[in-house]
Amino acid sequence: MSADIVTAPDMREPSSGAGRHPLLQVRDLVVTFATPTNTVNAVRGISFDVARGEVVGIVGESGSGKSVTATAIMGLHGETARIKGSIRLDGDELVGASDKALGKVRGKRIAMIFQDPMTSLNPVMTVGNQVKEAVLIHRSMSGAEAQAESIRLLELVGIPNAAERAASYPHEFSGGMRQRVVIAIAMANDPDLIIADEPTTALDVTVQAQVLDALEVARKHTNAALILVTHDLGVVAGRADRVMVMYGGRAVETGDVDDLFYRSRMPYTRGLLASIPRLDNRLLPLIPIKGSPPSPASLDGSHCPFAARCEFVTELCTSSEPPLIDVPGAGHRAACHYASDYARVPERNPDLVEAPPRVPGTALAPSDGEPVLSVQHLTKNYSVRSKNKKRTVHAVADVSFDIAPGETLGLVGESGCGKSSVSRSVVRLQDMTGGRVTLNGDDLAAVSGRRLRVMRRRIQMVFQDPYSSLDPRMSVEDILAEPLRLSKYPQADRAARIAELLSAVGLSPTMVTRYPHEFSGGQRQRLGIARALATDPEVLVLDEPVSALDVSVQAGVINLLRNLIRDRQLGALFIAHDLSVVAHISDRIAVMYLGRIVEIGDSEDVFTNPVHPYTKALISAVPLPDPILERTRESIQLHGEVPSPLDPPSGCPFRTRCAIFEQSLTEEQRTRCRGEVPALIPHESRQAAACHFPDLYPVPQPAATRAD
Amino acid sequence: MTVTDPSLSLVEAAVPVQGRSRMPAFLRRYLRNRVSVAALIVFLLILVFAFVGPMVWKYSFDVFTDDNSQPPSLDHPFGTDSSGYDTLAQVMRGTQRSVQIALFVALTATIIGAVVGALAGYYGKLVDAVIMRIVDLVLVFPSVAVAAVLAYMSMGTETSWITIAIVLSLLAWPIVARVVRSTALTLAGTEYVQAARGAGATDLSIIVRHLIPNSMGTITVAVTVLTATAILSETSLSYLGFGVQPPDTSLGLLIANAQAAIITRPWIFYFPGFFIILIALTSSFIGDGLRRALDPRQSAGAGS
Amino acid sequence: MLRYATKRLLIAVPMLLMASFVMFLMVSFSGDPLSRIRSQDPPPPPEALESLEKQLGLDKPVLERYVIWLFGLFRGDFGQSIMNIDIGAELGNRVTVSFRLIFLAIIIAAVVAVIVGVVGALRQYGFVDNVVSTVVFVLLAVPVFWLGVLLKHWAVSFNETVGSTVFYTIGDGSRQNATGLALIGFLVLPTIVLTVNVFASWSRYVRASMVEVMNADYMKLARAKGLSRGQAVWKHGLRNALLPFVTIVALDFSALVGGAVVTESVFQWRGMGDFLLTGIRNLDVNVVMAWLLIFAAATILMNLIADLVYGLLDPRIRHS
Repeated sequence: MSADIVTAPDMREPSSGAGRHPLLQVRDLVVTFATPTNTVNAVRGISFDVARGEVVGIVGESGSGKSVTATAIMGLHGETARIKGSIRLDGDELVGASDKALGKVRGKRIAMIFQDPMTSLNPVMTVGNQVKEAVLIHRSMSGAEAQAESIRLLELVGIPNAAERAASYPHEFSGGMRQRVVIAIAMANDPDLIIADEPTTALDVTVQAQVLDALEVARKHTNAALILVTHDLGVVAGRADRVMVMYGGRAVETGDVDDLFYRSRMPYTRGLLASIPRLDNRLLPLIPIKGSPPSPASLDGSHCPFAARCEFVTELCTSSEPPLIDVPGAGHRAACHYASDYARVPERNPDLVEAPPRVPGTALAPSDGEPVLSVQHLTKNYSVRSKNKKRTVHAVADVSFDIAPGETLGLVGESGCGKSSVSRSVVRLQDMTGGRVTLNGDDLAAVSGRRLRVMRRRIQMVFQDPYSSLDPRMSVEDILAEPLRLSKYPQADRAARIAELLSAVGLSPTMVTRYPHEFSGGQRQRLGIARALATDPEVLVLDEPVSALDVSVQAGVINLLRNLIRDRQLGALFIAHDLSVVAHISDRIAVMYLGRIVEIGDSEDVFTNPVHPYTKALISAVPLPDPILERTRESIQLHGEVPSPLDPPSGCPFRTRCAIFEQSLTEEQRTRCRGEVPALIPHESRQAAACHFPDLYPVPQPAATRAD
Repeated sequence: MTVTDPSLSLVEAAVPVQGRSRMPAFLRRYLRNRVSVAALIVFLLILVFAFVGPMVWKYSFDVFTDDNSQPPSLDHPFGTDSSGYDTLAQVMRGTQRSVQIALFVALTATIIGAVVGALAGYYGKLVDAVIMRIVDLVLVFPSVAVAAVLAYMSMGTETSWITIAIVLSLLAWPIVARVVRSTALTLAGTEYVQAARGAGATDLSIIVRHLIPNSMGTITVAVTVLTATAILSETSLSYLGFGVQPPDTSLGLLIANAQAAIITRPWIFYFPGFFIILIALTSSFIGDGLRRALDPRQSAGAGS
Repeated sequence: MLRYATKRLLIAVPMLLMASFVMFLMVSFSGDPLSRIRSQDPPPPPEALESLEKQLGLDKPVLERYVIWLFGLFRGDFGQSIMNIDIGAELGNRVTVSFRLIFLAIIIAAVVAVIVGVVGALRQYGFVDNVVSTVVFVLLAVPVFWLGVLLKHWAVSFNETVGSTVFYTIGDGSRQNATGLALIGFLVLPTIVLTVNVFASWSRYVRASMVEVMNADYMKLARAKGLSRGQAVWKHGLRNALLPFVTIVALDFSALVGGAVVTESVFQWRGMGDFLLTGIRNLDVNVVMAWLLIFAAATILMNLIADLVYGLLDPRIRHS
C-alpha cells in the first residue's frame, strides 16, 4: 500500500504554543478480524490527520470500515481484531500500547460517543453517578466536588433540572437526553479529541439537531477536535470542516468539505451525491448506483472496490486498485485512476432516469376521480399500565385523508407521532378504536373472518426491515407463491405470475430457487415489493421501506416504487421519518404530531411554504447535503421534547414548543390554544394546517445561522 | 413498465453464498464441529449396542451363568455379579431400557411442549397467561418426587416402562414449552408473519408454515437436552426403587444393586455408571453442536 | 415497587391453592392406599376394611376429601398417617435436617458458579476456560447417586488410611447429636454431591450471561471512559450479569429438592427424602400430600423472594 498521507490544510487557529503538527496522525491503519473460518480485513490501509479543533467527517456505508476505524483509534476494537499501522496522538503512539497506558488516554485525551443511546448507558446506575465516574477516573477530587462537577456538565449539555435528574436512571430519559448524557461524559475531562460514531442515527431529526448542537457546545467548551462518523451526507455538510469518504475499507476521497460536495473527483462520491434525495429540490431525479456496497471479505486489493458498480469502469479499474492521488483543492485527494482527468468523469446523466409526472392535488382531496383509499376519523387508543395506574395512549386521534389512484401520500412525523399506528390500522394488522377505512367504497373495518381475508388482498404492505420481512426458510418461489395460494390463484398460472412479478421489480426470474440470505438488502426489499404486488392490490402501504437500506441503494428502490405506483395506478401511503425521501416520492404530504395531522397538502406547497410551526421546524432541522446552504440557512431551534403520548397537552398538542405561542400571542389567544384543538383549515387555498394563528409566526431574528 | 426503466438495468445475479438452500449450509457448519460429530457417532454406536447387542450377544441378561463374581475377561467382558449374571448383557439391557425411556420422554415432551409453547407465544395475552400458569404449576413440584408418587402409587411393583416414560414426559414438557414460547414470541413479531397475515393467511397456516419451521432449531436442541435430562431422571428414579422394576432392568437399578459391592466387584458399579455418563454427555455435545450450527452469528465477520 | 410486590404475593397464594388441589387429585387418583391390605392373604374381613376406609376418609368423594384436608391444614392437622405418626411433627424434624443440606448447597454452588462463570467469560476460549467448560460439561452428565456412591467409597478408604472417621458416609448426625466438626463430617460428602450437580448448570448460565454483558455497549463506554477491563467488569458488568442469576436460583429450587431426595437416599439420612419415599412405599396418602405441599410452598416462596430481590435490585422495575 502506498503511503497516502493527507495533510491538513492551513491551521485555522493554531492553539497556544502547539506546533504545526496535527493532533492525530493515522498511518496505514489495517484492522483485521479473525473468525474460526476466515480472516476479514475491515480496514485495509487508511491514513489521515486531524488538526486541533477541527471537525473531520468520516462518511461511508455498510462495509466501509468507518465504525471500525473509529473504535480502533480508541483501542476498543475487541478481542477478535488485530491492528497494524500507526496512530499517533500528539506524537504518542497508540498502536501496541499497553491497556494501562491506553486507559490514561481514554476518557482524558480522547473521548467517544456511541450510536445507540439506549444501550450506551449502564441501566442499573444513575446518570449522575456515571458522569461522576468519568470525572473521578482521571481527576482526583472529593465526592462532593465530583458531584457538583457532574451536575455542571449535565447543565452544559442542556439537561433541564440537572441537579434533580442526576439521580435518575437512564430508562427514565428519552433517547435525545440519553445521548446528551453520553456527550457530558465525553467532555468531562476536556479531551483533545472527541470521536462520535453515528451519534444521531438512532434519533429523530429534530432531536438530532439538538444533539448535534449539544455536541458543538461540548466542542467549544473543550476546544476538542471532532471526528464525526456518519452515513448521512447532510450532517457532514453542515458540521464538518474536512471529509473523508470510505468505501470497502479504504479512503476513496478526502478533502475540504466544499471541494468534496461541489468538486468531487471520485465516481462513488459523485454517484452518492446524485442518488440522495434532497429536501430543497424534490424534483431532482435520483440517479441510482447499481449493486450494493461490497463486503470486506471480498476485497483483496487487486481491483478498485467500486469497479463493479461504476458506470465508467475500464480494464484498468478491474486490474489494479487506485491509490489516493492529488486533485485540485487543498488536501483534496481521490482514489480513482481517472481522478485528475475531469473530462473523463462527467456529471451523471439525469436523462437516464425517467421521472414520472407529479400528480398535483389540493389540500385534503385528491385530484381527479374517486379516492381509492379513504380514511375518515381514524382513532387508535390503547391502554398502558404506568405508575400504578391504567392510562390511555391516544396513538392516533381523528386522522382523515384520501388517496387517489396513482397518487402517493407521504405521512411524516417523529417518534410517537402515530404514523406507524396509522399504517397498521389501515391494513388492519391492528384494530382501530374508531373511524372508517374504505377501499374504493368498501368498508374495510366492517368485515371479519373470511371476508376480511379476501379484502386484505386489495391493500398490501411493504415492510421496513429487509432482514426480517422474508421467511428465511422459504425460497423466493415459496414466498411469492404464498399470497397467490391464499388468493386462490390458479395453480397452473402461478409460475408465470411469479416470473412476471420478479421482472417487475428488477430481479431475474431465475432466482426463484434462491433463499433470502443469498440476496442483498436492496434485493430483499424488492422481493418484499414483489410479494406485496402478488395479489394485485389497489393500495400499497409502505412503512419505512428504504430506511434500513444503504444510501446508495435507496435510490433504485425509490425509483422502482414511483414507477410501479404510476404504472399500476396504485394508491400509495408512504410512511417515513426521512423527510427528503418522502419529499421526493410523495405527491401530497401529511405531517403528524402526537397522533394528529397538523398539516396536509400538496408536497410542493408544504415544503416550499410550510404553514404550521411544527412543519417549519421539521423542515429546518433536516440537514441538506450542501455545505454552503447549510452554513447560510436559518435554523429554527425547537427546544424541549415531544410530550409523552400518555399525557398530551390540552388543546393544541404543539403549543408547548410553539414559537407562535411563546412570542406572538396575547393571553386570550393563548387560552384558545390551550383549550381548543385546532381543526385542519385550508390556508390561502393551498394546504391545510391545524393552527389557530398561522399568520402570526414570528419573523425570525437575523442572526441564527450556523456560520456564527 | 417503460423499456428505459433504469431499475431493469439493475438486474443482477444474487450473490451465491454457501450453497443454494438453507439446509446444506447448516449441515456444513455442524459437520465442522468435530467434537459434536464424534459424539453423534458414539451415540449411534450406543444405540446399536443397546438394541442390536442383546440379539447378538451369547448371554442373556436374566439368565445366570455358572461364573459368579468374575472380573472382566474375554468370556465376560464386563465381568459377572454374585449371582452369575453376565454384566455385559445386563448393561446392554439396562441401556436399552434407559435409552428407550429417555428417547420416548424427549420426543413426547418436546412435541407437547412445542405445540403448547407455540400456541402460547403466537396468541399471547390470555392464552399465554393461562398456559404459563399451568407451566408454572407443573414446575413447582420436584419432579423426582412427583414421578415417584405417580409411577409407584399407580402401579406399585407392576409398573411398566411406558408408565415411567409417560410420567416423566408429563413432568418435562413445561421446560420445552417455556423455551419454544419465547422463540414463538419473537417469531410472531417478525415482519414476514405480519406479511402472511396481511396476505390473508389463517392463524393455523402461519403457525404451521412459518412458526414451526423457524423453530426447528430450538426444538431439535430441546430434544437432545431432554434426552440427557431424561436419562438422568429415569436412572435416579430407578435407583431409588421407584422406576423400572425387576425383573426388568435399568442402568439405575444396576447401580443400586451394585453399591454394596463397589469394593469387591467394582465392575458392576462402574460400567453402568459409565454408560449413563456417556449417553448424557453425547446428547449434550450433539445438542451443543446443533445450537452452534444454527446460530448465524458464527459465520458473520466484522461489522461495518 | 410496592405494587409489584403485592401483585407477586397475590399470585402466590392462589398458586399454592391450585397446586395443592392438583396434587390432591393426582395422589387420590393414582391408586388405592389400601390395595396392599386388600391383597393380603387371607383377605381381612370387609368390616375391618370399611372401618379403615372411614378412618382414612376414603368413603367420601374427592372434592369433599380435599376440603376436609384443606381445613385440617388450617388447624395444623396434616391428616391421619398409615404409620400412625404425627405427620406435622415428624415433617418438622426431617425438614430441618434436609434444609441444612439444601441451603448449604445453594450457597456454595452459587458462589463457586459465579466465580467460575465470570472467570470463564472473561478468559473466553482461553486454556482455563476450555478446561473448565469441558469439566462442567462432564459434571452435568454425571448422575447424582452414582457420584454419591463413588464418594462414599473413596471416603471409606480415606478414613481407613487416616485411621479415624473424618467423613461420615451414613446418617445425618442428628442421632449422634453431632455438632461442630463432627457435624461437618456428616455434611461434607452429601453437600459436595448436591453442589456439584447444580453448580455445573449454574456456572454455564453465569458464563453466558457474563459474555452477553461483556459485549454490551455500556461496557464499551465504560472502557472508553478509561476504566481497565477489570474495573469495567467490577463496576458495570457484574451487577448486570448477576441480576438475572437470582431468578435462576429460584427456578432451580425444585430440581435441587429432587437432588436432595436422591442424595439423602445415598447417604441414608433420615431427612425429608426418606420420609417421602417411605410414605410412597406405604401408600400413605397424607404423608405424601403433606410432603408435596411443604415443598410446593417452599418453591413458591423461593420464587417470590427471588422476584422481590430482583425487583429491588433492578431500578427499571423499582421505579415503574
